[in-house]
Amino acid sequence: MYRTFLSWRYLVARPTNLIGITGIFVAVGALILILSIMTGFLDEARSGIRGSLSDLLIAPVGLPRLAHDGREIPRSPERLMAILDADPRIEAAAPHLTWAGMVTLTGDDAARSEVYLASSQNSDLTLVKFVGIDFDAEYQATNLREALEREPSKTRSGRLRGKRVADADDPFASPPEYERHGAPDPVVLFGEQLYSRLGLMRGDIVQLATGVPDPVSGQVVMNNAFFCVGGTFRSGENEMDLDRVYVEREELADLIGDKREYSEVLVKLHDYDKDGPALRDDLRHNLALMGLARGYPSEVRTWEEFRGPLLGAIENERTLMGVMLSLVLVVAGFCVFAILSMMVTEKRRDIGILTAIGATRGGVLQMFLLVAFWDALIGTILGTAAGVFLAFKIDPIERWLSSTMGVEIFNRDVYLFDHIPARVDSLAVTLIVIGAFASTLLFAAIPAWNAARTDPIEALRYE
Amino acid sequence: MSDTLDTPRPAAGPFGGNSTTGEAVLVTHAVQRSFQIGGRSLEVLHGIDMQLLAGERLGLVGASGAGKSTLLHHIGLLDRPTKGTVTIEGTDAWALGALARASLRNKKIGFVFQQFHLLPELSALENVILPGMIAFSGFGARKEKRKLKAKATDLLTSFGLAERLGHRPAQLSGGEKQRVAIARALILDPPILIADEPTGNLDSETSATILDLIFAEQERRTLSLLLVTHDEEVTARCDRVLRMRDGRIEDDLADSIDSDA
Repeated sequence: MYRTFLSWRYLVARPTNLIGITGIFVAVGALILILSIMTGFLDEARSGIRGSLSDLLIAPVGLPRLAHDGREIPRSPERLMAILDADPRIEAAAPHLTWAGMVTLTGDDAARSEVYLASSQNSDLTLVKFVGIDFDAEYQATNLREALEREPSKTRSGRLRGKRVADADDPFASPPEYERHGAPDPVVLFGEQLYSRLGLMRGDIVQLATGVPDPVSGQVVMNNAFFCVGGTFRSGENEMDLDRVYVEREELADLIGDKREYSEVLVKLHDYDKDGPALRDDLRHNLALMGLARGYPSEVRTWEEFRGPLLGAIENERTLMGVMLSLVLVVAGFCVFAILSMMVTEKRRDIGILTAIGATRGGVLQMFLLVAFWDALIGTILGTAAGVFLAFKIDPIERWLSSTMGVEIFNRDVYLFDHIPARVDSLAVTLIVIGAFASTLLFAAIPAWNAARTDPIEALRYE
Repeated sequence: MSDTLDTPRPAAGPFGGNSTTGEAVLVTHAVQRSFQIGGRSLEVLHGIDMQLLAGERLGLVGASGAGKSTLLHHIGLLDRPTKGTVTIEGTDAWALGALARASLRNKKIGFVFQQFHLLPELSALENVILPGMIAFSGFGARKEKRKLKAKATDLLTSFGLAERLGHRPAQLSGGEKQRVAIARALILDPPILIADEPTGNLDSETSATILDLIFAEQERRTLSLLLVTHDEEVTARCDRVLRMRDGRIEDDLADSIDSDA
């Protein structure tokens, strides 16, 4: 009883304790706020990384090759798709045909070609990744529709105002701006960043070119075709928005001379967390048995396996950030240590008196630990409240601060998000609270131990 | 537990308040204390044998440096003897564990110091109930605290401090502080009261009233009082006086008991 009573009295009577409480308050608040923002950033980045990846990725190695039983693995995805459609765990599947190639703006304008050839810079020839898709399957299996309908970002140029594609229900339809000459050109969709870098407009004509090995001569021949720019998409994933173009799968197959009809299948599950790895293992086994894949484990991967190294790097970064920021807690612990050490010195006589009237060493130890405990309790409660509040309100707060001070604190153009992302992770908050208590009590243990060791005779001897 | 909160135990002796029952409440046997200073052993107490009898007023005198304080620390269980034993009501205090010894100090011995030694953050009332709070640290502590407060209020009121209950030590005069300290020493009704020059920091008029209060309480509660003093007038009011010199008890001036009888 006296321990609680006296520790509280000491706390209240000594304004210096406020410094310790403030230290813990600031440390806990800042940690929660910063880690919440970090978590928010990582979540956004994570979904960006996942992007159009869907849950599972099936990419038979080296199509078309022989399966283990000597059969040729089919070039068309129909059989594979039928198997996937029959599995109740699978919500949707979308075949992709990917091929590397180039985009050039020369179009059908001979004069521009002349200018291009005379130019010493060849920035007009841009390397891209062609992705051939069936848009209705793609809509079901990935977030492509979202990427096509996402609000255009406020970029420096005003080009992206208005809708990304004329009609999201039929993204490969010719846009209204398209001036048709003769037979209609197929439509191509550009990643937003590539689109604005190339200075494209909807309705422009571009040329897609690629090299295809010729099975007869063994040489690589160039194939090219004119396409009409149908619009843009914004996946939120930098890499994709910068170098990916979508065309219809049939058109791409046509461009590469029907050498291949698909290169991978994206699979979306009803419940990835529940079925993901099990389905992956089933597919690895079954597809090899049916001669649809050669049976390498890497042919069927979860999206996490596919992006494993990058996700690992992000996790590492977060952990590192947490560890570094925890040092703030240690500093707060130092603060409490200093204040409590001072208090123990100051209260030497009180310790002697308490011992003389029957307090034990353990009691004295607990009493000073309790002072630190109150510090930690008050500081943590206030800090958690402030940190969580700020994390939830960081976006309006930043806007208000920016407009009041006239300085842009968070430049939304730098990132792909138009708000400051923050997610309060209850586990992180719990760990921070535990950390704050542990650090404070650990540092307080030293002066408290010294207090307990105080010789009552020495303490009582003289004033 | 609750017996310690009851009213003072009735006088045990057949001779009234100022008499002893002859039974030793506190016994030191061959208490020796030496300190290690710079590798040398310095013996401060050379085997002290003394007894504090139930209900007696025992004076302790001696020049400074004679070892009075050191002996007092041993009697008060604050210091462990190098050799010898300290027995309180038949219990060898240093054979006990630290917790039991702290409890013995808490319940059996009341301390009154020359410098009052009140806790500056606490009010007079809170200072008085502090030993009680130490004694009752477990469940039901809240109920005990209420009882303690009532008892401390009565005690302070009887000491003429009814108006001073909520005052901090800094707001009290020397005499008032010492009265609070005496109340604190008596709150758990210990059988032993140790007063270390309780009037050393007070003027002569206040000293007289404090001594009167101590002796009155001793008589009313049949306390075993050990009083360290310089004042010959004070020793005259004691039943027995021990004189210390160079870490030894020189003689036992036990005559006052005979003169009373």
